[in-house]
Amino acid sequence: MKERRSRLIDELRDKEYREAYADQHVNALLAAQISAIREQRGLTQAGLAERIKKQQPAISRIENVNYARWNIQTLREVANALGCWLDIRFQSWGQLVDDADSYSMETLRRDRLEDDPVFFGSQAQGQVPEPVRWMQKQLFPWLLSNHDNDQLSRWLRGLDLPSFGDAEPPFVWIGRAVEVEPEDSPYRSLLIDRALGLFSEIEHGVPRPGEQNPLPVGIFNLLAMFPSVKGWQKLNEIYQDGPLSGMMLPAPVQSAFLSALIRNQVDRKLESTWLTIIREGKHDWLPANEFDAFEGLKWLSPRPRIDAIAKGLREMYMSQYGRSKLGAVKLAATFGSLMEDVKHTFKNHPSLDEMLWKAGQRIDWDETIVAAWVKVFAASEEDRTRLLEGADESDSRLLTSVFGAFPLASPADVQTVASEPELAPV
Amino acid sequence: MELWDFRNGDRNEIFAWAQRLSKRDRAALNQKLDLLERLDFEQAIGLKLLAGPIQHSGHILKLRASGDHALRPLLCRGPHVPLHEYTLLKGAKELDRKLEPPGVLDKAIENRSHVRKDKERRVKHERA
Repeated sequence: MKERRSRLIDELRDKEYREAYADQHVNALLAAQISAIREQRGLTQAGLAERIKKQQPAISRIENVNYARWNIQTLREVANALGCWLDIRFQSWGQLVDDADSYSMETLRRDRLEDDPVFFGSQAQGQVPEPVRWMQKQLFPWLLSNHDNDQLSRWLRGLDLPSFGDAEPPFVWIGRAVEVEPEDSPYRSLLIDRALGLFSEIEHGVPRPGEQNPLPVGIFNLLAMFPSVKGWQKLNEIYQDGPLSGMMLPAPVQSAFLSALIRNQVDRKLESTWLTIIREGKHDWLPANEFDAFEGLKWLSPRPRIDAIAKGLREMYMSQYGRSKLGAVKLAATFGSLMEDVKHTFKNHPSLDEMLWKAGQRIDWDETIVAAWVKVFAASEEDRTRLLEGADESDSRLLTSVFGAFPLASPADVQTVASEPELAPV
Repeated sequence: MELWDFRNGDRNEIFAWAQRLSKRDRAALNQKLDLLERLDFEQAIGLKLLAGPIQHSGHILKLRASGDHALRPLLCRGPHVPLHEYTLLKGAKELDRKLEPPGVLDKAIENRSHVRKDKERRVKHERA
C-alpha cells in the first residue's frame, strides 16, 4: 500500500504525466460518483434520467470512466437530482495522491439531507448519527480481527471514509464509534492497543510532508479521548527520551501530543514540569506553553492540584499584566474565570468542595485589588472616559463591568491610595 | 484486486508494451489500472472500465483507457483466483472498432491458456 503511494508520488513529479493522470482521475471520479450515489438512492439510470429530463443513454454515457466532455450545468442538474451539491474547486497535487489512494465506491457515496448528521440524527435526539453507525460497522469487526494496523492508519489519514470525513478530523468519528459504547466496552482497550501498535510502526511519529491528516495527530487524539495506563506508559517513553523529545513538531502534532500527555496522566510525575512552564513560560524539552501547563495541572491524577493551579495562574498573570494599568483587573477577572472553569471541569469530582475552598483562599483578594485599582486609575469621570477610549473591545467590556460594580468614588477615597497597589503574596 | 502480467520467458510482455506508449497514454493506462484494483468486477463493468468478454474469446476482457490512443489491453479474470485477480495478457489498441495489432485477440487467448497451465508464466503487475 505504502509502495503504491510512493510510486504514484514519483510518477506525478513529471508535469505532462501528472496533468494527464489528473484528467483521467477526475473523469473517472465523476463517473464513478454519479453511479455510486445513484445506486445509494436506489435509482436506475432511467430513473435518474427522468429527474433531469433526459433519456437513459445520457446517464449511461456519463457513468463511463472514460467520458471527458463534462458540462457544469449538467453536473449541477445531476447533483440536484441526487440530493447533493456540486463542489468545484482547485486542488494541490498532494490531494491527488490522497484521492487516488483512497478511491472506492464506498467513499464516493454522499448522504441525503435527511441522513446528514449536521442537519438530523444528532445524539441529542437519542440517535447514533449515521457516520458513527457506519464507523462502528467497519471498526468493530476490524478490532476483533487479527488484521494488521494498515486499515487504522488509512482511516486516521482520512482514507476509505465516506463524506463525513470532510466535516471533522477522521479520528473524531473513530473515537465516537467507541465513545457511544458502554464504559466497560472491550472496544476501548482494543482501540488503544491498536493505536499504540500503529504508533510503534511509524517512523519517529513524524508526519509525511503536506499530509492533510497526519497519522500521529490521529493517534495522539485517540489516546487523549481514551486515557489509559498503557497510553501513559507509551507517552512517557516518547517524551522522555523518545523521538519527539525536544523536536520542533508541526503545530497539530504538538497540540495532539500534549493533549494525549495531559489526559493520560496517572501520577504526579509531570507536576513540577507544568509548574516550571508556568513560571518560565517554556521548558527545555517539552514543547508546551503556560496554557498547556494549566491543563496539565487540571488533569493531574488521582486529584488535580487546585492549589497549584491557582498559584501558577496568579504568577503567570502577574508577569504578564502586573505592570499594566489593567493588570489587576485582568488578574481578578481571570480568577473569576478559573472558578467557573473549576466548577465546570470537576463538577462530579468527589473533592469538589475542598478544591473550591482552596481556590477561594487564592482568590479572596481580587475584589480588594480591583477596588484599589479603581481608586487610583479610575477615580473620575475623565479617567474612566480616557480608559474606555483607549481600550480594545475586550478591555472595554471588562472596564464597563468594573465601573458598574464600583461607582465613582468620592474625592476623599481617592486620596487614600497613593500608588498602584502591590498584589497580596500567595 | 490483484493484477498480474503475462510473461514470456524473462520478458514481461505487458511492461514492455506499456513502456513504448507515450507519457499521456501511460498516465491513462496507469490511472485505469489503479481504478481496476479498487473496484469489484461488476463495478468495473458497470463503469465501462472493462468490456467483454469479447465474442468467441471465452474469457478475454478489454480494459478501456483513452489517452492519445484508445488503449485496450486484453486481460482475463483469474485465471487462478477469479474473484480476486486479473491477468493482463496482451497489450492492444483499438482503431475504427478493430483491435490492433491484428491477431492480438488470438494471442491473448493463447497467453491465457499458458498461464492456466503454468503459474510461472505470469508475474505481479509491473508499472511502466
